[in-house]
Amino acid sequence: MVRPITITAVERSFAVEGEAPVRALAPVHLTVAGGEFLSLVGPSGCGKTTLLRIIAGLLPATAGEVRIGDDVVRAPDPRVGIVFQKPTLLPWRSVMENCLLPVEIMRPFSPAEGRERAEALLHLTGLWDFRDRLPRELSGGMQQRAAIARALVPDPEILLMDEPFSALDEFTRERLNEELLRLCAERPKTVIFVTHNIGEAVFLSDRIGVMAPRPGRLGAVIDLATLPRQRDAGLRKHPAYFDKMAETRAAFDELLA
Amino acid sequence: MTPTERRQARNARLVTIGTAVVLIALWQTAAGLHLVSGLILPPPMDVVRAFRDGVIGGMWFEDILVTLEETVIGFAVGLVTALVLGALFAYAETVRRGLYPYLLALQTFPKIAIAPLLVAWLGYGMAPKVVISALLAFFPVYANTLAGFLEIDPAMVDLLHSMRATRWQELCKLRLPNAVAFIVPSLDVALVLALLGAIAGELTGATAGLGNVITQRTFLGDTAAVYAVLILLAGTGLVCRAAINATISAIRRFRPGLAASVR
Ligand SMILES: Nc1ncnc2c1ncn2[C@@H]1O[C@H](COP(=O)(O)OP(=O)(O)OP(=O)(O)O)[C@@H](O)[C@H]1O
Ligand SMILES: [Mg+2]
Repeated sequence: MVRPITITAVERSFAVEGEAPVRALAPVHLTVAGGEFLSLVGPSGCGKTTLLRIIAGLLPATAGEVRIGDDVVRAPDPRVGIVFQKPTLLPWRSVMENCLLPVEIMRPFSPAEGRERAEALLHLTGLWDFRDRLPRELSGGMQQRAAIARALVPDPEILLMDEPFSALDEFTRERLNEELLRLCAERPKTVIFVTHNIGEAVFLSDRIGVMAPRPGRLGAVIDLATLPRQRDAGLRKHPAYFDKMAETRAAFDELLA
Repeated sequence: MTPTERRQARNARLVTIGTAVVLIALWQTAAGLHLVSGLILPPPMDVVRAFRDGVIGGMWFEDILVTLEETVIGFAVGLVTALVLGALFAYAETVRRGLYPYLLALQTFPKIAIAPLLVAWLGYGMAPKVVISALLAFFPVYANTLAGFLEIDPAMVDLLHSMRATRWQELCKLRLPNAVAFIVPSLDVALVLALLGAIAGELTGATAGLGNVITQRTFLGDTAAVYAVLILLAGTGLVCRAAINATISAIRRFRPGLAASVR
């Protein structure tokens, strides 16, 4: 059973010395169903990272609460995996050793089982031949794939991803988008995916939350249930795909107007 | 290597060797023609003879050992103190800030100036030399240890928090390996400073050690021997560097990633 995420009136401000506090997030309400893939799209500074860190239990909210299932989030939950904007691989560990870090720290299963999972995920992400390389010997796209593999090794129930592909070129991004959906299909999981890229959001998601800055807030939520279920390269040429991109863009124009 | 690079490397080597040849030729000429007093500039052959008698003949064997021992003990004491204090102060922020003015004062203070006082307190034996040596070796390692524990990518700290790592796990899996990359490059500076401290202590007052040889021979007017000791010390400094470089290569072989950010 994959638990839903309920965000109720979550607010966050940051104290700034000698000035009024920055309101990074105005009250946000959002429910992400168990097993759903939800993207958050919005311009820089609209509080996407802040919201993700609050959901992850890495940052306390100023007001409101986040629940995973029935549990209020107060600290990081071991069943939540995170992929940061930068790959954040430990530079002194090989790709394989980086993937084993969550096993060493959280011990979700035996070392042998953990190694088996890491091996399987390195095969799935096409990094098997690079398992003994150091992160600096990998391209940016490969590093980000390693970070995704690492997040998936403990078999998280919830995956939080903060612009994982923003540093990549369009071709690599599209390939990794398809790869990500395949990886997520391995076992149902709830995904919150932050991006600047509307095409990426439409391609990946069940729903898209549109955010706006000053103060950071969630505007429209766009439902993509009408898109074809088959999410592969063909979808990017499908008229419904373009319709949904236009709809998302329109939601932005309305929100920012 | 491209042909251009090869030519460049060869020319650089020519400059190195050429400089030595020119300097020795000038030296020989100046000394041979008695342009300069032998007390100031003895002929090269005298220095070679002194070096042979002192080093290869074993006359300074004891002194070399004493200086090396002081250097190594001073380095080790300074290193361990710096590692322990650096690691402790990285966590004890209040203490670190409170003691910062004193550490800064001690760091900028010319520590060699307290050598006579230390000799008066601790006598003519090894103790005062080891203290100065340790004091000099301490600071570069301390500063880099502190930086190694504190200058960590906040995203990596988030990563470990998100896995609910304990403080102990965070120390072992993140802060210690991160610190190694900062600490290792400070070691060769610290070792050279430890040697400097030992010699400075010996020059102040000693009964053995290469610094003592310098004092004695200067007093006797045996300048050639003094030059020989100086050449020996230059060689010792290079050996110290080589020892640290060997340590780095060993780390690199043992854990390539750990030395990844070293140099
Ligand atoms: N630790 C902090 N201290 C002070 N202000 C902060 C802090 N973190 C975020 N902010 C402010 O909160 C606002 C939202 O930041 P956040 O990083 O969540 O934006 P974002 O939507 O992720 O932007 P981007 O797309 O550029 O990553 C910004 O105005 C930022 O300046
Ligand atoms: Mg962000």
